[in-house]
Amino acid sequence: MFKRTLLLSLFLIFLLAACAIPQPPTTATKPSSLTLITHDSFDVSEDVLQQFTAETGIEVKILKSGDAGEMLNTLLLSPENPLGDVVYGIDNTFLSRALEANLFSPYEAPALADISQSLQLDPTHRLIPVDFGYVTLNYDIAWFEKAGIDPPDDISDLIDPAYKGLTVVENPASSSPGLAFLFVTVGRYGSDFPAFWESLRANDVLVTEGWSDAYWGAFTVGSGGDGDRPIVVSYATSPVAEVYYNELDAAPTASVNTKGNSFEQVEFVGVLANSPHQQAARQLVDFLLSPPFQEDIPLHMFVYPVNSQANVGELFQTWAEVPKSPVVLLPDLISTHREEWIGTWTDVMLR
Amino acid sequence: MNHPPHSVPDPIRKRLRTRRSLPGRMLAWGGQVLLWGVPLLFFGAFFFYPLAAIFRLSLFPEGHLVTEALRPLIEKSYYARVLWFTVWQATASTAGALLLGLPAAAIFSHYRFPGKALLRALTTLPFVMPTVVVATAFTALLGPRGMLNDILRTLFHLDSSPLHLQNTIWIILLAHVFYNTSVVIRLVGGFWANLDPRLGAAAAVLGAKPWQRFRQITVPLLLPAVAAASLLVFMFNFTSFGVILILGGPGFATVEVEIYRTAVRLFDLPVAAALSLLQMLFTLGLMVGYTHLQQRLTLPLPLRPQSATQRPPRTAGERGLVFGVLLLLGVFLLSPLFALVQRSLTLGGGLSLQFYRALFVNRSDSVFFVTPILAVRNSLMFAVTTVFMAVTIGLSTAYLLRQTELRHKRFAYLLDPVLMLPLGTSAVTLGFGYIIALGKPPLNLRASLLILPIAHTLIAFPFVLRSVLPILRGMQPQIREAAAVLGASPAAVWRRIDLPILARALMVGMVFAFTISMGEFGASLLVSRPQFPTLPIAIYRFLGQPGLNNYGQALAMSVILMATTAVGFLGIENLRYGDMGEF
Amino acid sequence: MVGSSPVPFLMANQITKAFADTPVLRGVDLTIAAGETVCLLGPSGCGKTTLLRVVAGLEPPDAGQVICEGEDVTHVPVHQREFGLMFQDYVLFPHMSVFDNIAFGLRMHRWSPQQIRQRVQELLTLVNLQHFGPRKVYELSGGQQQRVALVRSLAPKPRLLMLDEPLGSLDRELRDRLQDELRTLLGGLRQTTLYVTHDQWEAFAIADRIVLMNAGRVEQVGAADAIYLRPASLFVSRFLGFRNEFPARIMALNPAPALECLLGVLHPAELPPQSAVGDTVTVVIRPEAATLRYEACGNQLSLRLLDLSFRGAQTVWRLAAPGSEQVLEFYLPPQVHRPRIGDTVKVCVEPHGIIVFGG
Repeated sequence: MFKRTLLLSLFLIFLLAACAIPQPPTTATKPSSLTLITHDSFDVSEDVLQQFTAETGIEVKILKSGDAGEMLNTLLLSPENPLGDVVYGIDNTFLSRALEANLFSPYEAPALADISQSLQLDPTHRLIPVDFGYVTLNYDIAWFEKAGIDPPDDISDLIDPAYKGLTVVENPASSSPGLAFLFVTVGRYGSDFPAFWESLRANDVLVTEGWSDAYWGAFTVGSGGDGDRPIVVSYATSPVAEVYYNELDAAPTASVNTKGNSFEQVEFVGVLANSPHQQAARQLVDFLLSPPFQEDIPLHMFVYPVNSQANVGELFQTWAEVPKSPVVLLPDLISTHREEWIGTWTDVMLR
Repeated sequence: MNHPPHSVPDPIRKRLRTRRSLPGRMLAWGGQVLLWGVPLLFFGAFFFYPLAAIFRLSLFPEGHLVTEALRPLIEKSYYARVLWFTVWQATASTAGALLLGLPAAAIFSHYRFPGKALLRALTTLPFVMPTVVVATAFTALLGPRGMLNDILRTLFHLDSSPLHLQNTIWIILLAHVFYNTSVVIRLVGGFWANLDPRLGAAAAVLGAKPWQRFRQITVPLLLPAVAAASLLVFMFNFTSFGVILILGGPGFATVEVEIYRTAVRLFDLPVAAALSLLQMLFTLGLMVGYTHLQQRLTLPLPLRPQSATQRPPRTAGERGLVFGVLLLLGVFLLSPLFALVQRSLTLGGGLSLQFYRALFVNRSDSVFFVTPILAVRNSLMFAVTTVFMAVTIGLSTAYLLRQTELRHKRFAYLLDPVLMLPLGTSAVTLGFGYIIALGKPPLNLRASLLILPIAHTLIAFPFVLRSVLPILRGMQPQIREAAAVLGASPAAVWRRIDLPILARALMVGMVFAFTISMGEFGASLLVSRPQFPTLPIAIYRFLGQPGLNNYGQALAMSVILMATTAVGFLGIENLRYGDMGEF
Repeated sequence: MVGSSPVPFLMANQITKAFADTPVLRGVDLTIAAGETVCLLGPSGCGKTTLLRVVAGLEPPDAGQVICEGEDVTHVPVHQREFGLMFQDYVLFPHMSVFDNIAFGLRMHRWSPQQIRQRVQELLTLVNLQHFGPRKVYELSGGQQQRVALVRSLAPKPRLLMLDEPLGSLDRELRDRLQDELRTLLGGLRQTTLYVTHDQWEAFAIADRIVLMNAGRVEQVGAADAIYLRPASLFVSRFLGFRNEFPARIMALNPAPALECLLGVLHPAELPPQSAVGDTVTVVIRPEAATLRYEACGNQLSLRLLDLSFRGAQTVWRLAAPGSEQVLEFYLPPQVHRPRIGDTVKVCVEPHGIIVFGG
């Protein structure tokens, strides 16, 4: 018995070792594979990814590296010796830091012509927009109907005593929707934003570490009845996801898409400057910006494609509402004040 | 019968009667090289080297200590509060685990009752459950609309939920008790069961009343085991990460959590490195105490058969005691697991296998879709590799330590706790170390699949080491000599003497290593290869998307993980050899 | 038989061995003839077990060589020497049955299963444990374990059987019985044996020849009676338990040697070589060398009776020289009329019972 286990283990370790042996770096024009570094939320259809391989003969390996912040940190740790060739998912809140570190090489992608100028936040085109979405409040439609209270339609409702103990938000220090919501309050209240949070705290807001804890643990809909918070900070497209995943006819949740209540998150793609496969990497970027991939984005990551040629699909057209005039903060401003704002928030909310 | 042995020419004899050849000597020398080389290489390459690299980068980026960057550590009282919180919550959690674990250890070591093996396996399950799953289970049980609140509401006709435990210190303490009680049960119970009952009998003959026997005989003999268990549990609580982060919420931070936040969120490497060093120093101190106590706990071989120390409960009082303790265990350890299973099978108020069925459907044609079978297979592949590596490292370190204990006792006192350091090292720090140190040839492992079992092995091998070491300590050295004189070569001695004697302890360590690898979710801190999703990664993927269906699938996947782990543990229960392991 | 073989079966020449700078063996010679039983006898710490371990190959000597059947085996690893060794506490393999314990050496030497079964059964019968094959070793009593350990070491027909205090952990009665069994068994097998013990009576009972060791050196080699009758040194005499020891001075060498001591004048059978009149010597009187006799004899002593201790076949008489603290102990046959405590008795000491050590 023991002997067989040993043999099996030996076999497996050799198998693993064989998988682990890195491909010899082919400095020739066409590598056999490219590595795409991305965050944990990245998803794509298998056949779409296959399409790229079929067209170019290059296999795409995907490495996930935590959320956008964690991903950027791992990139910053070893800039001269990168883990891969192309990075997908650095967002506008981390844009400045990523550009300062000079990790990416510029690329004037042909598809830029089909991408709205307002999304092209990096004029040097080292980071090219690839998708965008909105962080905003979501609420439980049935709960508010049953309770006979009007659902919130502005963040200022949250500090109304009628909404006491109804809201769950994420820690901006550890969660990207949490941070985006902090930016909403900064955009709305400017330097007075701590006062808003103080009132929110007084109104018994629940703070969780991450999005899943908030949505699954505390939100009445997501937790299947375990949680007791009918308002959650999530995405404008979360109701679509509810419809899609649960095969429903109508969304049990709604997002608050009124003026000045949401934050636009733009995600970028870029070629790592130290990748030896610049040419092939650009091909991959082109593919990620092309309609086949862009049209795959909505129902896999529940965000919008940047390419105006891409069709978002029926479900999005029916259920997803684009928020009106989201809060806009310049990447430089974010970069300068991020730690300070998070620090202030932490002092107000947790200490 | 009368053959003078040397008058009968034996064909083998001539072949054997050779001088100890050069290859023979090289073999012995090679054995020593292997014994020292394997652990040294492993620790050097996968622990000390990456740690040194990240510490150097963080603290000495320009060749001298970055004193300026470290000033907040001293100036901000916040860090002192974090340390204080870490210590007191660990103390309180340890006390809780002892409070529940000691009576359970007494019951398990003294009484036989139906279903005991199954129950013991179940109580050990929490120890290896991934935090994500435990958090889900706790929410399902203790959340504002969880089972307990439901019951209380119905019972007392309340409109709102009476219990608000989420993001409080109570849920942290409960989770720590949930996680660590089994350590107390195993460590203390195993020792207690093998205490010679004749000692108590001797005291009774000398006129000691039952409570005097307990105070004068049992307590002093048991104290080292209790102290060792406490130290180990304290260390697990001290370095607690997932429980604090997920169940405690943003308002709480242990040193380990603070390292994570500082390093990953604020990217303040100097402070994170300094905190890691502080935590390692603390761990080292705890482990010095722990290993020292363990050396005193070496059990004699052969053990007293447990049949001599255990019997069914007889009087009504005994039955009540057993029932009461088991009830407490059920409430604290099993009900969250039960809630998890129940939720995974519930849809719209009725029983349904919908979530399990959904696991087999790739609705969005995702490239990352994984069937449960495939996830189980991937998990098993990593786990078996981890087991193999943990056994190799655990066995060689056990022999190494034993040899050192016999030859250089002082050095062994130092070596033993150092070997336990990985258990108290911040995963983030090590993960960062891997990224900067293991990305260049010859050690280009950063993105390799092997990095996962290597990281698991660092946490899992101490379990092999700790279960094997006491057996090695209890083994008479002459037993190997006896075999050698009878004609067994060193390899044959190892295979026919050491291995069978160590086999069961080894199995215990192996299944611990197996389950740790099955449940460990450290991938986000390193780099994950989504093409090879394990069960915890699959669970995490479902939890990352909205929709009840995803939540339900996460629960169903958790139950599958739990079941696979439980099967592993039931395996141990059948293999164990009188609770000889230390864990 | 003793030393009759021109080339001894085993020779250990000038073995030295030290542990952490503490010398344990300081140049020891040992020979064993084929079929002979040699006992290494000595107090604990004298190096006898270390010598056995060097011969077995369990410890490499610092210097010296071990030659077996004419071949230097000093560096042959233990498992290739084909010796047998029975340890003091038996060291049975706890994870194996009685049968598997005995079969272990046979399997190592690749006997066929058929041969193994036959051999193990034969050995179990030899020690009256026919039905114990399937038993677990911890189910056996001490005496049974001892017998299993013995036949385990005998099973592969070792060239040399070594026994390290094999009866050490047994009670007196069992020990005496097994001692006899062992001698019969080893004699019957004509097994070449090296036997280590600290118990002189055990050694006397079993050995053809005794090697008496002290502090890493050989003190005396010889047959049991030779050593008993003529201990080569004061150490040997004391080790054998001779307590009647006191200083004396040589009065005369010829015609009959004479000594003067606090008991008066004694006439030993012989004196150490190169003795001179006036030399100070140490005298030992063997306890059984005295007889109760009132008529005059060569070595008559008048002694005061201190006490008597009846031991069956003999009585231990404790006597003191008049006006002296010197106590003498003699073993005498039981007497019908015994004197009272405090009476003065006269004993005669046989000249061969008086042993004189120079210096």
